[in-house]
Amino acid sequence: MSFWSSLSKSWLRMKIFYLFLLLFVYILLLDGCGVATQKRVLVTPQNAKSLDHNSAFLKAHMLDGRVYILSQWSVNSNLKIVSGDGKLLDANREVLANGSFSIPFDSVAIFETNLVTTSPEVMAMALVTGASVILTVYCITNPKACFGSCPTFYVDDGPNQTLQAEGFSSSVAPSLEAKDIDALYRAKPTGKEFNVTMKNEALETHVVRYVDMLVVPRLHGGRVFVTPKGEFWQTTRIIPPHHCNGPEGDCLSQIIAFDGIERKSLADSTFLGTKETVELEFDSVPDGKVGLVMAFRQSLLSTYLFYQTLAYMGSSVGDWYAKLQSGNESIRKRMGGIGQVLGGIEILKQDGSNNWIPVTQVSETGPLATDVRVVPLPNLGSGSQKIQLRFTKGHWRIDYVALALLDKKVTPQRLSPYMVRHDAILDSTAKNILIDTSQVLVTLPGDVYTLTYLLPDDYINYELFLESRGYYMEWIRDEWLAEENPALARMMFLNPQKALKKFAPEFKKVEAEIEQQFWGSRYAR
Amino acid sequence: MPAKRIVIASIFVIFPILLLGCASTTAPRHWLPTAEEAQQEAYGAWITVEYNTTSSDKRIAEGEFIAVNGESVFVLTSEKLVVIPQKQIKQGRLVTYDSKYGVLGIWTLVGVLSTPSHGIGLIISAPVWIVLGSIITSGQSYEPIETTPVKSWDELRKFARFPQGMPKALDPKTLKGKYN
Repeated sequence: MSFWSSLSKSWLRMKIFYLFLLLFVYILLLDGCGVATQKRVLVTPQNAKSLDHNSAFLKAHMLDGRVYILSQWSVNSNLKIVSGDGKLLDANREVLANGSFSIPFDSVAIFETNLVTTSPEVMAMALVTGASVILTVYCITNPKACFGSCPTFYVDDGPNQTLQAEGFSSSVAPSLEAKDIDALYRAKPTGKEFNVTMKNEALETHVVRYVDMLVVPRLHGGRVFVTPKGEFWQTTRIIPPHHCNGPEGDCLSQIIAFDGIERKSLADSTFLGTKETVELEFDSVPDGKVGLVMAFRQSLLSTYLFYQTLAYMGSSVGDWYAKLQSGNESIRKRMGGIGQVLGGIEILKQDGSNNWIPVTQVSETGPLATDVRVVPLPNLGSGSQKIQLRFTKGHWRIDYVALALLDKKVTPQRLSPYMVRHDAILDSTAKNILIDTSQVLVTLPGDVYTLTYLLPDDYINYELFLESRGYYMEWIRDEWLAEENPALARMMFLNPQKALKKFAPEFKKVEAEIEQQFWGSRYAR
Repeated sequence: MPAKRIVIASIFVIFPILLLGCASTTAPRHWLPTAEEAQQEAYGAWITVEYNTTSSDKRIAEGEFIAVNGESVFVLTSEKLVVIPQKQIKQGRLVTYDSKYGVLGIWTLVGVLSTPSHGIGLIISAPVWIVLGSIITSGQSYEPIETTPVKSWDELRKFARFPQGMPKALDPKTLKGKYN
């Protein structure tokens, strides 16, 4: 869909209409409607030299009440006359004569000049209009660059509260309600009371069944990781890679530490499902059960495609949701079609003949918070080992990769919030709802809840995880409704391969700026 | 949709309230020239003078500002030329030209109506348009307003029909107004 072909869409036409309406009014009013200011100055004949020649007209008021109004006027200081073309009016301002006049200074009581300029208010209005037009153009060109994705959770990482988790990102309908475990890997509690700020920062309705803290004791000097299946493993030995190589070359510096510096790539310009591989090499892998620790998150590619799909569903989005809700398995599979083609991160190891064999796959929905997982790798072998990661180009951002010796599987202790504040005000109703799993807490854009948990006395020796359960409903934007196209919606579901080819050029147009625009559109009260 | 209701409510409720802050004039319709037209006319500004002839007698004279002479101010009302001693004047207000602030009001209205093109951003852009547009429009409405005692009569005389003072040879009875 090129920009110009999309002009046929009514919402776009409407916005362009608004844009031109505003520009038209702006130009019309600026030039032709006399919104101006006037600066009037009186000058005595003795000071005629100081008359402001920027004044288009000169008025010469005579002692008897008559007045000359001259255009193209000039002053001759030697002859002490003013000359110009114009008219002579009597005291009642009726015209006595028209033509060219030369008026001696000594017959004039006082001169008057008027400087007319564009009003500063017009300039101020022009600035407001300019900003408004820029916003309109932005909205015309980037209707999908809007912040979205499930509840966001902020916790203390020491000096700041940072985004460390996003809950149930793939649960976009009631029937897809699910639990989600996120590692609060960078959390640094400073006391037994530990606050988690839950925000609704998107145009979505969040339905939250519970948000519990899972605390797991750490072995001395070790960490605890959770597997995609929800198993918790203690580890005291972490083996960093000594080599990382992607299509771009060496990528070790990007994945050696969980520091926000991510290994990422751009999507393919012809097929959004095009894969790439990153090869890792580890030394001194010990015998025993090991797992691959990864800190990663999605790019905005899947969010963009999700919004595009909703836009194509348009007014029939309710029907699609109803079908999904009715438990129709084929619909569910189809709705996940694009996600399946994009896929997760495949982990491969080498067999005895150095062929790459898929071992498992890891995935986590959501472009906001980086999640940390461990993926058990059975029979990896000891000594020097190579691992390959295979995934869709431009779809994943990887911050950290390491191997961990999985010492012991442990069961976490579950903590419910003991205090809940809504917009800083104590809210016992919300707290009771979050404790009672038969009820749900509904949040709307701009809502902020602070959930307080009581950690064990020796909290410093515990790893923290957040388990949330619920689902969310995306709000359908007006401009999306106007993009309704059942044929393209069907293509998304029935032929995701074709859809990923068709939308590749369109996504590439916004890919460079989509991150900045996405975060800039975050909803906050 | 709530956002659209916000825009509509803003237009019909908030916008008119904010525009009430604009300067008004009692000048007859089309009497005042625009700033451009005023360059080629030689009438005085529209003046409203509140004065006391005695401590209990309050009067208002409004019409064309004719001249300031010595201790007196000359106002040509619809009926006659009124000469008011400056000492008796409590306050005076001049409207020197038509500021055309209504144009900026329409501009603001169009701006507000264009905010649906901002999507959800209209929640911010519509109020910004209304508040800034109203402030700017109000500011423009006050551009041609001059008042006394804020300014002296000597400063204001340039807006009179006869800034040089009342011509001695002129018979006041023969003086005609703009549309007489």
